[in-house]
Amino acid sequence: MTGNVFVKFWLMQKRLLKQKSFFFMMCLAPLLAAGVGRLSGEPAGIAAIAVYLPEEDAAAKEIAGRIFDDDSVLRYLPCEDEEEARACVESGEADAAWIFAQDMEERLRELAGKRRVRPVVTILERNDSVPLVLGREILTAAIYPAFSYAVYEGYVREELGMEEITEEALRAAYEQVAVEGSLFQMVYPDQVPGEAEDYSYVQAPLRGILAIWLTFCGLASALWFMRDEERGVYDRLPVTNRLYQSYMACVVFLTDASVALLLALKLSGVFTDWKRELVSCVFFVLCVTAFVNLLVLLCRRPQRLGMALLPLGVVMLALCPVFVNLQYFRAVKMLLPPWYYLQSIHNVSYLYLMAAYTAVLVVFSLLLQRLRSHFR
Amino acid sequence: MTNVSGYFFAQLKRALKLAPAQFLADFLICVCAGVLVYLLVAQGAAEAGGTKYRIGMVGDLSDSYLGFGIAALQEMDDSRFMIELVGMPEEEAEDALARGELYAVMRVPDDLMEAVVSGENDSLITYTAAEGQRGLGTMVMGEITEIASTLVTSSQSAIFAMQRVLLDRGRGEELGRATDRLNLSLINLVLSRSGFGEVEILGYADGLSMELYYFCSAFLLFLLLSGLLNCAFFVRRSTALTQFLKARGVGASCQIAGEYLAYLCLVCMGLISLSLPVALLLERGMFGIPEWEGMGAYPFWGFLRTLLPVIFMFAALQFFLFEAAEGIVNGILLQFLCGIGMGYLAGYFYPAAFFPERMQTVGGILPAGAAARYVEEGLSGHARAASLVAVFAYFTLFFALAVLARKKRIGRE
Repeated sequence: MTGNVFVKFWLMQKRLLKQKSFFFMMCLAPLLAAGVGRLSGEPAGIAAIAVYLPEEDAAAKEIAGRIFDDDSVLRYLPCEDEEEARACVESGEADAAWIFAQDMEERLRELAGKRRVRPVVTILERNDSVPLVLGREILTAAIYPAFSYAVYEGYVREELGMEEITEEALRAAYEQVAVEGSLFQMVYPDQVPGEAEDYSYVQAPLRGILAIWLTFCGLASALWFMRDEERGVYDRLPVTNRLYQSYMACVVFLTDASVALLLALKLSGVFTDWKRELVSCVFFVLCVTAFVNLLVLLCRRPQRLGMALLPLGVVMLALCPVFVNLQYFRAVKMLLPPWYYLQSIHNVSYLYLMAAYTAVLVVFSLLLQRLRSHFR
Repeated sequence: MTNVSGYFFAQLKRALKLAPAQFLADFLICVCAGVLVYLLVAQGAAEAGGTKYRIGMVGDLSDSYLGFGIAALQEMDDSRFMIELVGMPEEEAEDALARGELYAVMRVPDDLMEAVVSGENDSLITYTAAEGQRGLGTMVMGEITEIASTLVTSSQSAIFAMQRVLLDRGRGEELGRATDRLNLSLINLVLSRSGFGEVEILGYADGLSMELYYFCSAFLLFLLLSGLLNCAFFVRRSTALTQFLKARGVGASCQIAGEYLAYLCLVCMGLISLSLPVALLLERGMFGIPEWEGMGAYPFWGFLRTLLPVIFMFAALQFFLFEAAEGIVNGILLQFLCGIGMGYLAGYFYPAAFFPERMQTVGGILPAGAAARYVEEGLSGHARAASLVAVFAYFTLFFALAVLARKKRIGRE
């Protein structure tokens, strides 16, 4: 029995791999992923900010170091003068400009001592958007250390009455006790720290895109099987055995696709570790197999299944956490195999849920097939 | 010419047979898109009305300083309009996160305040986001936590430095009162931190608003992926028929022209069935695009006219891909991967400006990028002949490649 299954598997595999365009198709996904992975290495940001910082101001230098050295979700365009920064926004090259005052250090001192309220920076924006609101907070965080230092300096001199204290003494005391590092750490549900995976948001959607691609490979294999069925390739098999054959065709197809998926993940830079990826991928392939075979039984004809492809693709792109993570439609999300796969990478409970969903799909398929045979 | 028109009408008949199923699929897409847009608009309205991203706080929050900090964030800070911090037991928070009711869960360690007061900062607040993998949302959240961290550590540095100065000068007895006053002063300044900058909104000099950008992208993506919707047109294509037609004097180019025109009609039908409900919604003002404010559906018809060359080009691209791939199965996979890949690089999902420069260049060169550039320029009133030429050059190229592929197939068979 096992030998027979293996022979069938191998024969189908040979038939598939003999097609040059199928082989090419399987290579395309890793090529796309590798290309995006390579291109994403350069600086990118959800908003481009033109920055003008006066060169001679010490506080400005400190802030420049903090802005330009940080690995940020914003992209910065250093400008020579205020006009250049303004022109960048007006031409659309930048979404906003941060123009720092010439006498920044002085203004910070005034602000810290509540003597005068003159803005430290002029913010020019094309429109009010979420990335730019976040940008303003990032700007605040860049200015705040210099500002808190000015507050400390003013407080010691004025409130504590130590006007004679030198700048060097103040700075030395500050640097001696300066607190560094972050107070927060992102962890995944499996307690893996967020920093363990180092890739940019440009690469992040690749796993989701590839997961939907693998689902489409499953759907394509279903069309392949249905077309063969129409041609009479399986005429010698009893109708009750067709479901098993359809599962077999899908697994053969998806075995190649899963190799391409793993390779694409590795090349794109979003790969985690072999064991986790392999287990999730196996569960995912089985889930997609059960999912598309239920669709085959529901659609019956290749044309109907073909018509369902785009709506299904749209639903998967919108509801699976590929580009955005919508909080709605959990019930619909739970019908989509890529959703389980994407969640399962860092949460083993979704693997169990995926297995349970696969079992439900298989039971439904068997029942549907029995009903069909009964009424035929 | 008679051959082409005769063959075209035969193909058109075949295409029309597929129309009812295609309308059904379009209807499904409209329903999905409509519900999504409605929810996104509803979410936006709810946020404006006070509904926020809920973050579950887990751990011992009984410390008075910590409680004061959370209360200050919730009552006085600008972030209160976006973020709602909710204290809850760990299990409840985990369940709520899994159900999608929380955006993230933050775990506060028991000795957090001791660590903050001593300046050790060795007890980290850990957070888990609802996204199963690292994505744009978690990266933005990372930025927000970094900002919060900078505000705290810089304040700590200022307070500890002041304490050091007092102790060095033998004024230790003033430590408590001076620390409290400096603390309050810093908290006050953090809460009014928006005063650092003066904001000036310039408006859109050129380019599109985000709403119009995504509106265009949705239509372009629909057109780019409509090969999947119309794949039934390419099912059961008889290989013997192409040879028979060739023998009857209908050559490869005539065959392609006839089939392409019929396919183009199918794509147009799909676009029309999607456009009608959109026009109705625009006419009734049920969703707004800043540039089209108060103009009803009128600018939308202009937008559809702008799309015409793109429809020709995308239909030619899809036709070529189905022609080049061996069989419908490979054709569908090729359509999907090319559509999604090109759409992503050309900025149909994230704005192209989010990408590194080289990626933007590659995306701009691709057919999807050329189409997006042409449509964006058309809508912003800066149409350039070069963009239209690029679209037509791609159309000609794909059409010619489809003819070549057909010739090769006829020759091989």
